[in-house]
Amino acid sequence: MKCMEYEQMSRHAESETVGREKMAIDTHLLDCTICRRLYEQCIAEREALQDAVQAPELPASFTADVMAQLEPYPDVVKRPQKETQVRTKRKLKKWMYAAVGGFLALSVAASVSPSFASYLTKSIFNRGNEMIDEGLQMAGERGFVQQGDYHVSDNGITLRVLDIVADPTRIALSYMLEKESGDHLAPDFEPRLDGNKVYITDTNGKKLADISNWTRNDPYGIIGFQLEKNIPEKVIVHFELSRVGGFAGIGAKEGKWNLQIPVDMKKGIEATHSVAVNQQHTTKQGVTINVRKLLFAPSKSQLEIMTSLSESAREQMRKSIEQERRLGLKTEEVGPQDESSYGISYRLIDEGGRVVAGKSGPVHPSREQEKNNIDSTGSHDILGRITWKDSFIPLGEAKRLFFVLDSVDMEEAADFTLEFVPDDIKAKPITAQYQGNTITVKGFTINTEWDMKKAPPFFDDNTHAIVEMEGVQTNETGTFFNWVAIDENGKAYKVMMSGSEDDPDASGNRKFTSTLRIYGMKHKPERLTLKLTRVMKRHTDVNWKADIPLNR
Amino acid sequence: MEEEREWVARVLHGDKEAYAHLVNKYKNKVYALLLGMGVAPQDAQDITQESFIKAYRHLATYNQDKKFSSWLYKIAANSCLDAWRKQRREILDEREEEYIETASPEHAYLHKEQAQELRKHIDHLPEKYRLVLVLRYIDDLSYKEIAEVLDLPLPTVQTHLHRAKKKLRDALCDTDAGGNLHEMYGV
Repeated sequence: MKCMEYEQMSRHAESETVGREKMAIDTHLLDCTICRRLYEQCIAEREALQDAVQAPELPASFTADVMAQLEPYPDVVKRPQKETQVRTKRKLKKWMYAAVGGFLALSVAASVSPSFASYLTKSIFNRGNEMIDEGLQMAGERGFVQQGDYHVSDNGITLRVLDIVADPTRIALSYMLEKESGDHLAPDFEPRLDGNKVYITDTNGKKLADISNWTRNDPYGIIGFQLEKNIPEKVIVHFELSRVGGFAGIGAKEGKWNLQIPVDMKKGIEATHSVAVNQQHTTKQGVTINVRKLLFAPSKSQLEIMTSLSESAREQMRKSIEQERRLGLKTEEVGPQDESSYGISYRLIDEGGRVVAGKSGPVHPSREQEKNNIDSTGSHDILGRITWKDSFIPLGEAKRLFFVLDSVDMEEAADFTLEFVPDDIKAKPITAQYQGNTITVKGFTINTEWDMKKAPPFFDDNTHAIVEMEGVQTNETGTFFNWVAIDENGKAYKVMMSGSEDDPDASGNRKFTSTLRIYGMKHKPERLTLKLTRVMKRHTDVNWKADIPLNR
Repeated sequence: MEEEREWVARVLHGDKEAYAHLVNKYKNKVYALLLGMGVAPQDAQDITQESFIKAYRHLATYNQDKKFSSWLYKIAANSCLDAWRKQRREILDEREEEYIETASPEHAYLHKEQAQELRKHIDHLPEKYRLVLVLRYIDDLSYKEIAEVLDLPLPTVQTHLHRAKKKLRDALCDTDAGGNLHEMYGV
């Protein structure tokens, strides 16, 4: 797919992309450093805005004041009151890093903060703590937590690391920032800041991993590291912090907190085993899927899959891109990352046919897109093959597992053209059909925009045309990303699309609304042609099921 | 969601105290929303209180398929909009013009004050943009939920949010420290 504009990436960073759009962007990000940077910028921007809108807390008496003004609803039967625990949901921040060309995501939700005293006996890596993913909860419950008294103090602030969960796939640890008064600083720190480093080495000082994710479970912070293969039995976590307890300088303390924590990997390594699968299948669309192995670690089960395209499928994709270029886009408008993308959806089912894991759905029988997924990383090799490591919450005690391929999504050349008079479109929207999809163009405007810059030229004319579109897409067709606009003089323009889709109805059709931005188009043309050049197609006629031998 | 449904059900069955859970959970969010909309702290506290009382009294009409928080934010946002409508619109409109003037190059700020700086710029955004922005970041509301709270079409929510961020970036560019939101946050 094409490189993304800020607006689309911003939606992606805010988890507003779903299904195939999400899949296409994730895949594109594997290869495109420019877009990855933009992605990180969008994450940083989101965090800055989350911080900026935080407000002071209301006085403690507020709730009582409200309650005093309320009369109970008349009740038929008065029930005994059950003690319900109030959960304080903190604003969450997720640091996400592109690690070896992939992404990591830590699933987080609401939190129940244990009291300060309880940390000595109770790890926060416990069952029921929704702030951490279920894999960490399970590992904690099964005793894979190491606790120790690791702390360092400077400038009145003590950095204290409390407990650590470690297995060969990842290490997660919790820490606090304590004040001398016994209170706590917010567990914030900026891992992007030059003076702040958190990483893992072996005992010889060779670096094994950088921090990969961070979340807060006030007063604790939780840091995660993703590990690759060949993890030694002992590793060292290094903290080298110079500014803690605040974001963007607000409420932060400067100082020097250097701490080294030895982590014993032995127990985690011993409890981990992997099952070689090595089953391969090539779909008739030319996508080869090699399910290589399934790793069972205390905090996650990780399926390793390698996917690649046959030469003919690649050729087909190249042709569709070529066709786009022939329409007359300037070469700088079609970057080297402008590649077609593809993806797969699958489930893992147990001997009883129950879905225990799934990715990029629909995961049957519900329409969930994912099942028990913790995170997913991918990396490209020089041959263009992608190795995916998809992690799920520990898969438990199934006797047999099967990998079931649900669908293959591939970008294909499309042949669909819409032509209209921009001046008339508001009064007379036009509707057309394309392979069972309905597409309506209902608006055209020129958006006059000037971007201000620090360096000359201080103003950038960012004026562009906007086309408003809506319609209904079928289950087989993905989002219509790839458009080229051609004005009345035959000049071609690059088009960026953003928009949204409703959830699918019973037959899988989805209503959508889209905005096409035609960059460089600064006038309203007499006639405008929109060509859909490529479309992501979902192929469900893939019939492959692979047995994963568990030797149980 | 489940827990909240339970609380709502208990309130409707006469267990008034169950409502305290909902108040505790959302009071600071609603307050932050109102502050974010530019309401003065004391007024924001009053409107927060009114919103909870209003929500309680109309609890029977709340559709439990939706999030309680979205419904509550809608009540709070409407209370605030009502208050705005009582004021003279011109004053508010003028603020937007003023804003362009105040965002001058002399408007220096220190690195340490970046979040406040950003907050100040948010406070100066036109209301319709600010409202969407604050709803988005106060409680991670999805675009769809914001659309429901504000009765706006989803594309409008996206456009407002996009423009809000763009205005913020432009405004930050205009300060001495320069740069955009991204540079400001060090990536």
